[in-house]
Amino acid sequence: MTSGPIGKGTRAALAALVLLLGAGAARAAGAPFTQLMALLAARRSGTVTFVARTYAAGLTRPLVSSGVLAFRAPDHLEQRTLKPVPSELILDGEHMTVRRGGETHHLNLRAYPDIAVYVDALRETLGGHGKALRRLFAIGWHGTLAAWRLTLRPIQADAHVREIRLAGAGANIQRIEIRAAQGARTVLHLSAPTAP
Amino acid sequence: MNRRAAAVGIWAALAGIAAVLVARARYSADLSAFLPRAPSARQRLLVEQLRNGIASRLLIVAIGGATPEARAEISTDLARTLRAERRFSAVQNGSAAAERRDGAFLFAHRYLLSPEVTAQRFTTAGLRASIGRTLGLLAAPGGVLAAPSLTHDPTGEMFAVLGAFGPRHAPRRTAGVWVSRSGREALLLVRTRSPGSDTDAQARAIAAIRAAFREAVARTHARATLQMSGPGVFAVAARARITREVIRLSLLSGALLLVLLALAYRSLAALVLALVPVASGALAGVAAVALRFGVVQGVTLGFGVTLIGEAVDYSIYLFVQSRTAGAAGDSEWQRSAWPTVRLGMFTSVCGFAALLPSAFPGLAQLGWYSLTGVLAAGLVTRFVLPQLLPVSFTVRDLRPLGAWTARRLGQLRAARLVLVLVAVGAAVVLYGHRESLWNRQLAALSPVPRAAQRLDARLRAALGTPAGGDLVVLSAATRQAALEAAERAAVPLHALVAHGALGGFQSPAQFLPSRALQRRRQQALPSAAVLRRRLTRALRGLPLDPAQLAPFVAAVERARQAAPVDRAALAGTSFAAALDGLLVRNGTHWDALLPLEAPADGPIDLARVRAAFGASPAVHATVMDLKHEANRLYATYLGEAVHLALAGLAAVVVLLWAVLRSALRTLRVVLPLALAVLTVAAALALFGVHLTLLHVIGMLLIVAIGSNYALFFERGSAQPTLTLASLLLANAATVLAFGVLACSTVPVLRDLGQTVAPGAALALLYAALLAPAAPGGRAPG
Repeated sequence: MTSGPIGKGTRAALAALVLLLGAGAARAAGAPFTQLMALLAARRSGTVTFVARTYAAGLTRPLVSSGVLAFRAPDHLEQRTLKPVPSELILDGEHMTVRRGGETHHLNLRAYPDIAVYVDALRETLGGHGKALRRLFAIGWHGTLAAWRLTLRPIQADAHVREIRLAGAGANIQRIEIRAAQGARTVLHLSAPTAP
Repeated sequence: MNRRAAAVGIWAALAGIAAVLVARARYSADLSAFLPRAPSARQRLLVEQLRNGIASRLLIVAIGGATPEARAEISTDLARTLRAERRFSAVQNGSAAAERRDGAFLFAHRYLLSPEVTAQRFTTAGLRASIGRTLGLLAAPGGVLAAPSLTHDPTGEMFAVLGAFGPRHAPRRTAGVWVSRSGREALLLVRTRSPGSDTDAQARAIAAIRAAFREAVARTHARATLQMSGPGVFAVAARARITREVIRLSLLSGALLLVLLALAYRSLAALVLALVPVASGALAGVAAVALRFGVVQGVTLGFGVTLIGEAVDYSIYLFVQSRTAGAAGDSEWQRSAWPTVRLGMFTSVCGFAALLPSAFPGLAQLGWYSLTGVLAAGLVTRFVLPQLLPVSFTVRDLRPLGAWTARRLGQLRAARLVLVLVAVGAAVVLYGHRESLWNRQLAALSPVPRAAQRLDARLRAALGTPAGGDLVVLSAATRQAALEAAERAAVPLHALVAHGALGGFQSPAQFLPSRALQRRRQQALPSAAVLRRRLTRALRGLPLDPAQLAPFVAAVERARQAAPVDRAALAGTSFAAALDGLLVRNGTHWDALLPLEAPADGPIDLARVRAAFGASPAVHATVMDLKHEANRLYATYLGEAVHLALAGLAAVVVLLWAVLRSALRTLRVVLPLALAVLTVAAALALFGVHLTLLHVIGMLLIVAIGSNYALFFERGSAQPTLTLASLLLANAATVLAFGVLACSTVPVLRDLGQTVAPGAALALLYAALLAPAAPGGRAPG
C-alpha cells in the first residue's frame, strides 16, 4: 500500500533488467492459456492455505507468514494472514477492507493502484478472465496445461509491482510470486484447494 | 419665467454632473453583494475564507467522453500545459509522477517529518521494537511493495509520516489518473494564484484551461468534453448571468412600459417626457451609489428596474390628472395632488432608508439608489417636468377608464367583507407553514443554478475535497508561532481521532513542522557510531543484517546535520499549495487552519472538539464550521432584514400620523398595505416558496409603493375618476416592472419581483375597497 520511492538510477537499471529477462521468456499467450482460463472460470470458488516468504535486501532469512486465501466468483477475494501477526485484506468488487493491529479501514481499491495491480492479477486469473488479464498485463506463458507458469507484467508504467508470476497444474494454482523493485519479492506456496 | 428657467438650468447642470459620475463609476458584478459585511473577527475570517481562502482558488476540471485511455492522455497533457502557466499554483491529476515527487519529498525528510522520532525510538529497545513492527508490516499482504526501502528505513519512518496524514480518501484512478466515482470522467484539481473573489483573474484562468483542453483534444483527436466547477467558475458564470439579466430585464421592462404608456397617452411627446423623471432618477441613483460606496454592484442596477416602476408613477399622476400643458403648469394640480404625491414620495423614502444600515452591501446600495432616485424623480416631476411641456401638450382623456374602474370597484365593494376572510385565511396559512416559512440557508441567495451545485457536489465527493467544512483556526504573531500552535493543537485532535470523534485532520505542521520541533527531532537522533552500536544489539535474533543497514545509518546522520525543512523545500510537491492554503498571513498575524474530517459514522460534534480545546489551555483555538457559520451569519441578517423592514414600516406609520394627524386615517392607509403583505406572504407559502431576505425586503417595498395608492384614496381628489385612472396606470407600470423581475433566474431579483408584483396590485385593490367612500364619491379633503 505504501512504499519508499526508489532512486532514479536504480529504477532505470531495474526496468532494463526486467526487459532483458522478459525478452527471453515472454511468449505470446495462445491456446493453452485460453484453455487454462476456461478451466479456472469453471471453478466458482475455492479456499486454500498459504505459506508466504518475503525476500528483500538486508534480510538474512525470508520473513515467513501463513494464512488463508479465499476466492468466490465473481469478485470476492480475501487474504487472511494468521501468523505471525494477524492481518486481513478483503475485497468485494472495488470495496477493500484492511484489518491490522485492531484497526479496520474501508477503502476503494482504485485509489490504491499498486494494490489494485496485485488484486487484479489474482482475481482475474482465479475468475478465468483472460481478456481482462490481457488488457492489464503483458502475459508470458510457459509449460503445459498440466504444469504451467504465467508471468504478468503490468502494462501501466510506474507500477510498483514489477511482475506477478503464477504457477500451477490445471485449475490448481500452486505458487504466486509478487516481485517489487530491487529484488524484493513475496512467494506464496498454496495448499491443494478445499471446498469452501 | 426666470425661476422656471432656473429650475431647468439647475436640473440640466445636476444631470450633467451625475452623468460624469456615472460614466466614471466602477462597476462590479462579482458575488460580494451577496456576502454580508462581517462584524466579528470570527465572521471576518469566515468571509475572508469564502472570498480569498484556499477553497476559493480551487477549480475542478472533469474530462468526459472518448475512451478512458484518451481521457487519461488528455488529463496528462492538460496538466503539463497548465503547470507551465504561472497563474496556476498547483495542478493535480493523480499522476504517478506527481505522487512520486510527493513521496520523494516525504522520504528524503522522513526523520524531520515523522511524529515518531524521539530519543526513545533510537535506543536499543526502541530500535528493536520499531524494526520488529516494520518486518511485521512487510510480511502482511502487499507489504512487499515497501520492502525495497528496508535498508534505508528499517524503523518504518515513512509509515509513520504517511500515518500522520490519516486514512486518505484518495480519489479513484483509471489508466493512471484520477477519475470520478463512475469512472466516466478524468478529474483534475487546479489551484489559481489569484483569489476566487478576483473574478477577472478567474475568468482568465478558466479561459486558459479551455484553451489548453482544446489543444490537448486536437492532439489526441478524441471526442472529449470539458466540465468545470469551483467558486471561480460560479463567480464568472454568475457575473455573466447577472450582467446579461440586468441588461435584458431593463430593456424588457423599459419596452413594456413604453408600450403601456403609448397606449395610455397616445402622444409621442408625453411618452418621451414621461421618461424624464425616470432617467433623472436612475442617473441620480447610480451617481449617489458611486459617490457613497465607491463601487456600483451589478445587482443594484438590476434592482434599479424597481425604480422605474416607482418613478414613472409621478409623471403618470401629473399627465393623467392634469391632461394638458396649461393645467400642469397651473397651480391646480400642484395644490390638490402634489401634496399627496409628495407624501407618498416621502413614505417611499422612509421605506428605502430602512435598508441603508443593512450589512448586505447589495441591500444598502438598493436602499440608497432607490431613495435618491425616487427623490430626484419626484422633484423633477414637480419642478422641471411642467416647464418642459410644449404648449400644445395633451394626453388622452382617461376618464372613461377611471369611470369603468369605479363602477367595477363599486360592485366589488359590496363584497368587501370577504377581505376579513382573506385576512383570516392568510393568517391560518402562515401559521400552518410557520415551521417551513423561512429559508435559512445562505445558499438561497446564491445565483449558482441547482445543476451546477449538483455537479460541484459530485466532483467534490469524488475528489474528497469538501466545499466548506469544519475548521480549527489558530492565530499567532509569526509563521513559526502559528506552526507551533498547530503542533500543540495536534495533541487534543489526535486524541479525538483515537476516540472516533474525528475521522482525521490536516495541519500545515504535517508538511512543515516548526523549526523548534525539527530541531528537537534532530537532537533525538543518535550519531552514526552510537546508532551502529545500538543496531548490532537491537537486531540480535531478528532476520536483519546490521551490516546491510549502512544506508539507514547514513540517512540518520544526514538528517542530523541537515538544515531544517522550509517552504522552499516543498517546491514542486502538492504540499506547497496545501501549505499555502493552511498557513495564511492575515494582516499583521498568521493563521494556521486545520480542516477536520468527519468520522465514518456521522458528522463532527463541534461541541466536543471545543471542549477538547477547552481542556488544553495552552492552545487558543477557534473551532468553526464554515457552512454553519455562513448560514448563522445569514440567519442573523435575515433577522436584521425583518427588523429593518419593521423599522421602515414604523417610520412610514409615524410619518403618516404626523401628516394626517389622525390614528384612524393612518390606519386606513396602513390597513390595505398590511393586508396586501399578509396575502402575498400566505400565497408564497402556499406555493411552497421559502421566504428569503429578499422577500422581506419586497414586503417593505409593497408598503413603500402601496402607500402612494392608499394615500390618494384616503385623501380624496378633486378629479376622482382621473385620479383612479392614473392610479390604475401607475399600478400597471409597477406590476409590469416587478413582474419582469420575477422572471429572472437570479434568485435575489426573482424573490423581490415575485413579492412586489402581486403585492403592489393587491395594495391598490385593497386600498380601493377599504377607502372610506366609493372612489369618486368623496369631496377633496
